[in-house]
Amino acid sequence: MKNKKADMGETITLIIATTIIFFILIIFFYLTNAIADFKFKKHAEVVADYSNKEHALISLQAFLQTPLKTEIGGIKSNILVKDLMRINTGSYDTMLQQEASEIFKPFGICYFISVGNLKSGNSNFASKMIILNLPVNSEKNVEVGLAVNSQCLENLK
Amino acid sequence: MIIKFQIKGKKAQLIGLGLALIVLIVSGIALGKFITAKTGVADLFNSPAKILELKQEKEKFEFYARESAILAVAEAYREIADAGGFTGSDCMVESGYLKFCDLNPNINEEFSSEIEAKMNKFVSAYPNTKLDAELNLEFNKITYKVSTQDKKINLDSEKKQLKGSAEGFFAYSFTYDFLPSFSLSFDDLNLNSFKEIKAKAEGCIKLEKTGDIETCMNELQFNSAIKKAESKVYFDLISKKRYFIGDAYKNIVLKFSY
Repeated sequence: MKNKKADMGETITLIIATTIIFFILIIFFYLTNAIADFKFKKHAEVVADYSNKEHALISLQAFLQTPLKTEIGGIKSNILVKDLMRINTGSYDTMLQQEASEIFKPFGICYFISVGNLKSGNSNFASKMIILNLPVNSEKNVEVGLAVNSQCLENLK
Repeated sequence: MIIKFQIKGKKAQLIGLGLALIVLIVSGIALGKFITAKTGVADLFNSPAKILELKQEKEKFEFYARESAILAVAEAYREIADAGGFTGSDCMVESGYLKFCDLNPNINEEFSSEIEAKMNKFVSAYPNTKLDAELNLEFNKITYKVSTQDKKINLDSEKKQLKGSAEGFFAYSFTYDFLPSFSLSFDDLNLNSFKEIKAKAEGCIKLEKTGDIETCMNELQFNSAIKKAESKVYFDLISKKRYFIGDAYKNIVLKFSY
């Protein structure tokens, strides 16, 4: 009888210990999972942000190389967007804005472009712009920024 | 025969319990450190972001450097063309036209040094980026050495090592070797080297009619107007493309006689 009681006590201790270990394992499992979730989410954000900026960088460089037909100083010329931006004194703003709207039409409401006073597109993406410096002369540069949001583009489809 | 191992005695049981508790506490502390060591974890997650950001900063500078080089070449070319620096020092001005008696023997060196001075001025005006303070990028301290070959302008610079690191629980460091050198060709710029212009002019003047000489010269990146007077041929070349020089959009003009 005495031995049986002692055996029961031992078994109860083992059950309690196993339960405690089991709960500790569950807690560890959930914590590890939560950390991993956070890590992957953060990683996905980093990758998405990089890919958006890379997309914007390529699009912006292509936009700057776009030839336009216009009249400068009374002479009809083929001028590149980047050169028009360089000589821009405000008089070509409307033209640049129209051109930007036309070129970035496929991006719908998922882009934002900024050149000096000229701002066009969805201002919600303004903080995610990639900014290129366009040299004008040895003392002056023009900042040109573009943001493209791939998630927004995905939702448009 | 059954052999049972048992911890016997209260002291032994306490030691066992104590050991188990220590293991639990140490594991708990390790996990706690991992979760709460915010700077460490943040750095670990931020490091790929920083590397990618650095790559984009490099690409942005490469764009700026190439654009600066195009402006520097156009400016230097126009200055040499305006000053008649493409001819040898013995060549005289006759009837308002510089006689292209000889090609300046130092044209490549002079042209390169003009581009170099302008290019390095442009680069020094490159604005610091927000990563500058952290990673010491200092793109605007890069200097270029320019050399001109027949159809190519080389802009060489020393290799720049971009470094990033952070201390903390998950300390990291990385180095990125960046070689900012690149080259431009006269064709890319819609220009011709002065040597090429001389060779073309020497070939074209063999034709009799001014119209034919013009057609021949128009094969270059310039539109030409040719006049003949006495035994001389006068060339007025105007670039087909306009360039942003100084603060205006201009053509490059070359005037010489043969």
